[in-house]
Amino acid sequence: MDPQPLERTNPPLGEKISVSEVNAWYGAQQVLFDLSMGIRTCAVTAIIGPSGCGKTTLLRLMNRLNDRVPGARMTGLIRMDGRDINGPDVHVAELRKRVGMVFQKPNPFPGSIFDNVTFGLKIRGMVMRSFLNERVERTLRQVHLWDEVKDKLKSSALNLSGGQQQRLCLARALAVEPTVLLMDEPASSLDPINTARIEELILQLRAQHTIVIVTHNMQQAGRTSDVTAFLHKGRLIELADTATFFTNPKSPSTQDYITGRFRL
Amino acid sequence: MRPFSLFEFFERMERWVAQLGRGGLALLVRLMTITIILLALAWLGYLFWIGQARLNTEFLFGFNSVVARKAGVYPALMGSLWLLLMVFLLSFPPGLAIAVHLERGRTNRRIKHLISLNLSNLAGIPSVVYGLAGLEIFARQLNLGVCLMSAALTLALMALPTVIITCREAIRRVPAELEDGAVALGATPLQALWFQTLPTALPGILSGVMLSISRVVGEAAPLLVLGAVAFVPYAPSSVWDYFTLLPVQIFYWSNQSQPDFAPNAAAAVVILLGITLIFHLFALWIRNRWKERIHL
Ligand SMILES: Nc1ncnc2c1ncn2[C@@H]1O[C@H](COP(=O)(O)OP(=O)(O)OP(=O)(O)O)[C@@H](O)[C@H]1O
Ligand SMILES: [Mg+2]
Repeated sequence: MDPQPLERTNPPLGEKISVSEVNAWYGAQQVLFDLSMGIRTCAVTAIIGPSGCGKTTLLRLMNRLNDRVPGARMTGLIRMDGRDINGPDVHVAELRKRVGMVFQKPNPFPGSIFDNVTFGLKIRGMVMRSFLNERVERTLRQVHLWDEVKDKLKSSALNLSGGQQQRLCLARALAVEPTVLLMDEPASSLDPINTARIEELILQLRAQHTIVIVTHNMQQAGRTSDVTAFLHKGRLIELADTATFFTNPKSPSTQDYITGRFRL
Repeated sequence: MRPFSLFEFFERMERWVAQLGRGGLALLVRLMTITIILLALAWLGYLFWIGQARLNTEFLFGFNSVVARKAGVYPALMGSLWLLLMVFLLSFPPGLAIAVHLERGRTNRRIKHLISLNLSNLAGIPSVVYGLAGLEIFARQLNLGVCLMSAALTLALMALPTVIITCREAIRRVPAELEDGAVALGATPLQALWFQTLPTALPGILSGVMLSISRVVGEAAPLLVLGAVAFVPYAPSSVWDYFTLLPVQIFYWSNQSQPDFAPNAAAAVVILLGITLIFHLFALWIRNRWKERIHL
């Protein structure tokens, strides 16, 4: 069962995901307001914005993880490859199999390192030992964790450091080869060297994956992304090609934010 | 005068306790602990001493008799072991299923709240009442008669509220992010629950369940009400058999006017305690083995 090369269903400049007029609530509190944006196919879209502006919420709407939060609801339309992901004919688990996610807070499973990477494969029915071994090594090498853990694949993932756990969670998501990858601050607890490595990995993955990355690090957004979006208080303030976004932002509040003069 | 500060108050308290701790307080606490342990050991030793004449295989494998020296505990021992197993099988699966439903099911939140309230109430009902309910429902209405099955059903019913409550608590201690992680990989909610949450919660679930079940099987009252008597000439060989069990046997022997039966009662208590101890050690062992694997 060798990984199939992913076909590009859309031309590179097409939209993999389109978010239109989305509002989102937790209980009575509205956290996203009339938000519309496209996520370009096989490109990296960075989402930046102050804490609590709704970045995580937006990501969680794209793989319908907020379905699981009691009291959370949304209106509007989110389409992936042209299909409404909230439509009645969409199988949620199938959707999530194609849309991987790396969480803001590392959440490794309490099992072994090996089990963490293979869980997603196992629920897809891929259980052949040699295949699993090969995939575990490949993905752990991708996230530059292999050398640190290759002798203790059977030991608990919870014994890893925060940064190691973060890379493990990225490996776990990569192992199942999703077409879309949602990353919520994937480098927040990494040292500079590993951050650089992960950024490099993101640039590599871009060839075959559509990536959305949330980051608080402007330089990181600048280095890794093709498109950058600025969210503030649940509204999309600016969305532009990254080069334009950082050199020539239209909105004054974007300018303040990226130069660090921002006032809430 | 400076205003009263709770922060400062605590700081001073702590310093004070630490000073005491260096001297008297620690010693006092240690003495109290030792006293309690010694009392428990003394009581156990006393039981051993009284029952020593009867703590032998003859007693363990003997059947009941009107002659104290000849009476054995075998039917009661087997009855208790059967019950332990049956109550586990009858209360754990439904208890866990109900707990999972209450934690993850789609039932209206108000109904769930109502059920939780009732559960804590049910857990507080005296065991005699369960005995009466068991007698009426299982022995009479369902026509099972007084047999192991109606006893096990009664005790399972009695254990169920605590089993549900402990399972729920163990499940709730597992962080929700864990299931989110599994679901985000494409697992269905049931897969996420089964492969991630439940294994993580299992040590808590098992030790809680074992505690509540061994507690329930040590009860004499509900089964006395149900109609269990001590004088049963055979060990049960099926769940429809008539039965006796250790607590009832102990109750019966300790109520005899002849003093010869006292050693029997003491020896039976030692055996009952032994079973409970083994059961608890087993629960502890499972828990620790699991802990090693999942590090929680
Ligand atoms: N489960 C929840 N229940 C209720 N409110 C929530 C929940 N999750 C988020 N919120 C609220 O929604 C708003 C947006 O939260 P969100 O997590 O999307 O912000 P964020 O942009 O990811 O912030 P950060 O950069 O700090 O991660 C916040 O005001 C937060 O309080
Ligand atoms: Mg966030």
